[in-house]
Amino acid sequence: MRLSELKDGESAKVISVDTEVDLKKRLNQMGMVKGVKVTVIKRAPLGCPIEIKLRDFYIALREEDCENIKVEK
Amino acid sequence: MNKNVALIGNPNVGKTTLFNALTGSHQKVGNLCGVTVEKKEGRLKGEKDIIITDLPGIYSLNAKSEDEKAVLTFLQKTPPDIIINIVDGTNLERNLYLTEKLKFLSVPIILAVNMSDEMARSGIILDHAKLERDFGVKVIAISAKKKSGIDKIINAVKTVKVAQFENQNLSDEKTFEKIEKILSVCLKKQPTKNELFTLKADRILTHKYLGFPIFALILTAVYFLSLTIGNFFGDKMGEALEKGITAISSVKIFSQLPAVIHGLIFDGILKGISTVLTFLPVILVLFFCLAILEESGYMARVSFLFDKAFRKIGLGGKSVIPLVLSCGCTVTGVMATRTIENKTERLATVILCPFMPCGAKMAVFAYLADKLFFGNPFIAVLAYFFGAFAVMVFGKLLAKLKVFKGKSSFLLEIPVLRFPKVSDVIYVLFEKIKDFLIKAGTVILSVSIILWILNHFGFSGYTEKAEESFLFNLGNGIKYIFYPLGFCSWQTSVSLLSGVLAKEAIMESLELIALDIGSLFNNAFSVFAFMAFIILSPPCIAALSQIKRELNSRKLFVMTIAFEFLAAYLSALIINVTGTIILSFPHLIFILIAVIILIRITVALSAKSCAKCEGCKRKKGGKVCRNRKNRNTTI
Repeated sequence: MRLSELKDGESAKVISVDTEVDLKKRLNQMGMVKGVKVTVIKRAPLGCPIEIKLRDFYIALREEDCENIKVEK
Repeated sequence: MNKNVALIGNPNVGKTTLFNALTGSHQKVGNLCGVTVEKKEGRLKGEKDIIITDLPGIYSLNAKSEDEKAVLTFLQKTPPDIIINIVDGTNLERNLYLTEKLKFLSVPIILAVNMSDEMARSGIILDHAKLERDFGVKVIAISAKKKSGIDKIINAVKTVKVAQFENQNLSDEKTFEKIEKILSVCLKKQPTKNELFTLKADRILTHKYLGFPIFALILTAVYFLSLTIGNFFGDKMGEALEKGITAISSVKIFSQLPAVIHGLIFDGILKGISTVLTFLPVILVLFFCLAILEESGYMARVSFLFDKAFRKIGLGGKSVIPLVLSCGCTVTGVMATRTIENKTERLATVILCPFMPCGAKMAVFAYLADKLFFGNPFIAVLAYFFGAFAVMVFGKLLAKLKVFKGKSSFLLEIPVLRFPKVSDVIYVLFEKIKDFLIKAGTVILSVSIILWILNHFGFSGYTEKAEESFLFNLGNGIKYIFYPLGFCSWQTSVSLLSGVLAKEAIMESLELIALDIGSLFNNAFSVFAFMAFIILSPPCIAALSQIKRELNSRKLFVMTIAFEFLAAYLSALIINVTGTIILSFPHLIFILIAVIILIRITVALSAKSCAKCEGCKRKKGGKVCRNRKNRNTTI
């Protein structure tokens, strides 16, 4: 499934990050690599972006980028 | 022999605080990425021959971003003897990625694990000896904030030996695997207390319904506070200054001076500078509040809230911070656009930043409100709404241009909320006072002198009559440009011209050359038109040069100035014309409303219903079908 399909509060393991190259590189360096656990914290009031817990910190990504990140529960 | 030490670490890990503790000098620490854009050097306390360089915060050595490129070239050109790699102990996995990459430089690394106090408080236990053994670098626990462990670092810098690393080029995935494996042995972690607090606070700060109202409340409070508190102290200061100046001017030595010199000193220089000085408190309170918002990490929440809304006008969530900071000073705001990775969003933000009225413009409005609207603080608050509205309208307009189209990605870090360090906020204020005094001593002083001389000298020499002065002729020469805007006087023209140097100069020159400010404007709406023109017209020289640097293109820069001038002129024109019509023909509004209704009815009656549904009367070629069921079908 896609990261964008997770509900608020749900966690999953990353299978692959297929976003646009620059973003993929930066996510990889932050530690978003295969097998890492991510948790969707919440969506912004307007539905996008999405706040995600990655390792020990928090980032926000836009919905269309989350659609390109495959995860499994 | 000098020993060179490079201080490297991710953004926001307390690098600058450690630098200050090591060298004793002071500089700003921000919660935003990229506060330290240029490298800073300092000598280690008590050790003259050890030079420490503070480098911008980076995540890797990939040379992707500007900052990373700068650090990489620096490290390659002048390889340091030692690297102090500062990492956030509450966020080790990610921080150690950079450490792993730094090993490639084959320079001895001292790993300074910061936030040891926070770790202890939250029950995070790190086995330093094990980490040192498994990771192959010297590990020292410190707290940059509490200044603990600093002496250990100094010792290590003095005694460190040559590095022996096995250089493995691992993929990102393998690197994190390695780090995870090492940390699983030596780190016992759990969420920090700050993190738990942040999660709770964010439930309210970015709440679905409360998030936006809270932001509006905070911002209004900031402006209201700066205007009321600032004005209170400003008034007291103004009174004191006036008394002081009158007292000095009546002293015998001065009152015996020739009229020209006496006038230049007291009515020119001192009056001009004191007018500007009385608005310093307003600007200071504003900067104090903005510094707190920035340092606490709240601004990242604002980016999170606004991203989707801002994309509609061609900007992104990260544009919010520069725009809010621009309310303090356009230069700061434009500089903060560097955190926006997307080029089109960045350019659009740079161009729109001056539209948010800066502290100096706010001082001008407070001055105008004082003179014309009984000191109503809402006049200046209104200016912000106007500025924000202008950003929306003109942002939308820019987004339609080809240059500003393009796909964008967005990666926002949401830092843990923290209480701003008092010394950092006070430092921001001191910097501001320093800037202001320098400005008062240079730009404002010279504007005062030039204005006074031009105002009191004419083709026939020294004159008491304003009508014979050079300034009168200069202002008269250009005043007709502003005729359609409702303020066609030589005084307003001159003041706007002086505003190019610094926006405070607008009120300064009005104070010096206009006897009755109210008589310069046709009506209240032309005052608003004047304000709109000040808000939207190209900013002061300092801001312009910063914009030029960020745009990095002469063509774009010239276009920006033209765009901002046009925007200012058109907006002021619309306000003045509408106001004049409303004031001269109040009944015209009703006629206008009647005409609009009539047109709507005729259009509705003559329109053919679309093929999709019978009920909707939208004309063909309209965008969206009115019938809710067919919302998604374009007619």
